[in-house]
Amino acid sequence: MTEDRAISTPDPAPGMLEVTVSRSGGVAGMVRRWTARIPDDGTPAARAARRISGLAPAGRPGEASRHPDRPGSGPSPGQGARGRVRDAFQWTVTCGDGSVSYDEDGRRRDPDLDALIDVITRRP
Amino acid sequence: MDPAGWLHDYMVESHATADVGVRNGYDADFLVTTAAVPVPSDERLAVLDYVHFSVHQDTDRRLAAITAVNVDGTQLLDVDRGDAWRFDERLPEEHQAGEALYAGNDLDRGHLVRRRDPAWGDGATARLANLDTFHYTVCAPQAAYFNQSQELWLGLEDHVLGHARAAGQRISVFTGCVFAEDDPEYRGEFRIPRRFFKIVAWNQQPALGALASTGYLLDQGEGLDRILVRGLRAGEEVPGPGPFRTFQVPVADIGELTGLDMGQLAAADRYRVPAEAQGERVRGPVPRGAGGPWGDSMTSACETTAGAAVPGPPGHRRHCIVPPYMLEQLSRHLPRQPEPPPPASPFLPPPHRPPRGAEPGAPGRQADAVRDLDHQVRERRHRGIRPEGGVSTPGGTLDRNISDARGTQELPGVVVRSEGAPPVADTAVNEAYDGLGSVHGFLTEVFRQSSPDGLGRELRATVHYGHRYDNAFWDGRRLVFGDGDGEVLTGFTPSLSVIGHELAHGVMQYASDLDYQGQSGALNESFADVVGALVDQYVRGHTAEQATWLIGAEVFGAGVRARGLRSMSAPGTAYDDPRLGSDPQPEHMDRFIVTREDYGGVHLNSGIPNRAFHLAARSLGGHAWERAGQVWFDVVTSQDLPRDVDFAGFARATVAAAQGRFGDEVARIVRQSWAQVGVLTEGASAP
Repeated sequence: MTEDRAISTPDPAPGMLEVTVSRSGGVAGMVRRWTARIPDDGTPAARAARRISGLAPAGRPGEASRHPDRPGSGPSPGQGARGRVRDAFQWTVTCGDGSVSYDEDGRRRDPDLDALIDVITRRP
Repeated sequence: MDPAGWLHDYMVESHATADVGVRNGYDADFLVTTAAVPVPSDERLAVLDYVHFSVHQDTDRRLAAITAVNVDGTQLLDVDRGDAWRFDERLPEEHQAGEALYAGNDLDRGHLVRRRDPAWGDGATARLANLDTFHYTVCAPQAAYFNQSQELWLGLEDHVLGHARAAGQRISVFTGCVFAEDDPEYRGEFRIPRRFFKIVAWNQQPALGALASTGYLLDQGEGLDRILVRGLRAGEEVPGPGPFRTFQVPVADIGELTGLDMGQLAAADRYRVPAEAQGERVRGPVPRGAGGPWGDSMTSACETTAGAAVPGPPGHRRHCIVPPYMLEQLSRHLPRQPEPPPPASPFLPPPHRPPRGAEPGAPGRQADAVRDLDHQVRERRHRGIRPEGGVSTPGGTLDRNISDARGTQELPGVVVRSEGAPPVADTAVNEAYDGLGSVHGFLTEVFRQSSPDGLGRELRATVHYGHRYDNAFWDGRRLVFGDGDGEVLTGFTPSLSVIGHELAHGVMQYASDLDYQGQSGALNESFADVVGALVDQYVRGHTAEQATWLIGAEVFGAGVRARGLRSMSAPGTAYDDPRLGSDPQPEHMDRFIVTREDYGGVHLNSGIPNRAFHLAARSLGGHAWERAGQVWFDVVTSQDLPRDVDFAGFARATVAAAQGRFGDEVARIVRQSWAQVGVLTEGASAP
């Protein structure tokens, strides 16, 4: 069996937050990743990144999320898709040592996170 | 009404209408098409004109070879029926069939021109038209169950007239007997036709005068023999209508069967045989947009009682186990395939239909050919290839509803096309509409399940979801399609396999509802791919060997190095493009992917069960939906599958299902296929 590879990037500069967004799933089942640094300036995106960086890493398959009931939280790894949506994208956002996973609904319910994903994925 | 009363009424109505000359018969210019539409006829037939219709009588057979009636849906009137039949005085009685044929048996005087069809215009004209239909020249001997069944003759007639009335449309209807050399003799002077045809013609585009037509062949079947031999009477056991008595068929084929030149009616036929079946090759889905008020496409699938779906007037319920285009394909392709050993093989033997153009004017041979095909279909059914029970839809009503999110992520969006509405300018809308029809037709015909919940509820889809949204998904109630990014992914609605995939998630939701995570999630995805591939193959008429086994071959932009989103035959080889990367799907348990992404790799590890299905289908041969597909569908809808079933558990369930439905050999092949992908051990004795 194989395992997908972890991402390794240099430490961010002071005052910057490095964020990796991974989009998987969808009917195509393709994985796309975006990594970018954003200023820790109190904007909604920065607030979301700061919040994520304070979380524990996302669990392995079969483990429960430490914050399954957090507002805006979507399916945590190991729990599968919440609700009836199939072929939805799964968004995994990593900042520092923290990581969260969301489905589309979860992303939309969390405006700060939505802004963060927007910022990261729209950068060239 | 006694004959004297009928004659009185007839004289009154004739007098009332004499001045307006309404008994001019069928009007070839009635539809206002670019060219007149004459009655397909020949010089041997005697022509009798009535009010709004004509009869072309075969005086040897003493029955109408063809009738033609103009129906004005805007002027139809309900008039009292009357029920007194009489000979037409313009023709010798020995050229007509009267009570000598119909008395003392269960043969109905079946109207070839439906009584209500010509009953339009002013009241007097409508009443005379109604009375005109009670000439013996206008009827034919039909077994009572056939004539009176809402599922057969009457059902088709009701639907034709109902649509003309509802749509306020003008139509012309051509109906007649299919005379065959071996039609059974009766009472020493008659021969009873087994089949009848009906062709509906209309003006498809009034501004352009474009003629359109559809043809139907109806078979009163073997039950006729019992009536003729025993003189079955009311109260005795009435033979059932049988499961497959009505087909939509190419109008040209009706011409071949009857020996009548269908001319422009055949040229205007909205029925389309898949291009592959005509020896052509097309890229992308088989054309599905024939359009028109009688069904927008070959696969838009009007309903049948037995759950089958064939093209034609939307919503009309007809019997059809194997759709006519499939028969057509079989007739063209199967002769190239090896003869299977009877009786265990589920495959149809090569039909003995003569090639087009062979022995023209030999209706007996042609009738033999069609009868052979029908026989093969019956044999096929008797061998249990299609599920006999467990019909999970009440009639399988097709009810599509397409909405437009207009670039937002708000669902459901604005409804832009509902069932029966004509195509719109938006291609994505029409593709989604047609695609849902195709999937519905497939599920109904093959698996007897016309909607995800099996209750025949509305099939809903939304297009133009989001901005450059490169995904399609099932949201629990509807299919949702983004437009793609416009470069790499250029939209999902052109892909029938994707549409089938998404609707299959709905079927899964209301069946086993496998957890969308890990191995059960990958099985959930794999089942969706199986259905998507099967729908595509079904519409194209592909065997397991002919099929591409690609999912989403139509969704990529120009220059993208991709054959599809996934390959079921060779997982991991569907694409290799700088923008996409390479296809990561494993094809064997040795390369099973452990990941947090994609809900535990549900779209990745689905390659393993996908390949197992492909291997089983290829080894079994023929059409993949017949055995491998049936086994997979049986398992998913069995209600016995644990929601968190793993690959091995699912595999064992398929082996057991194969054993139960098809026996040892199929079960062995299914097991072997799972073994080849490392899920089961080959050779184990028990599932």
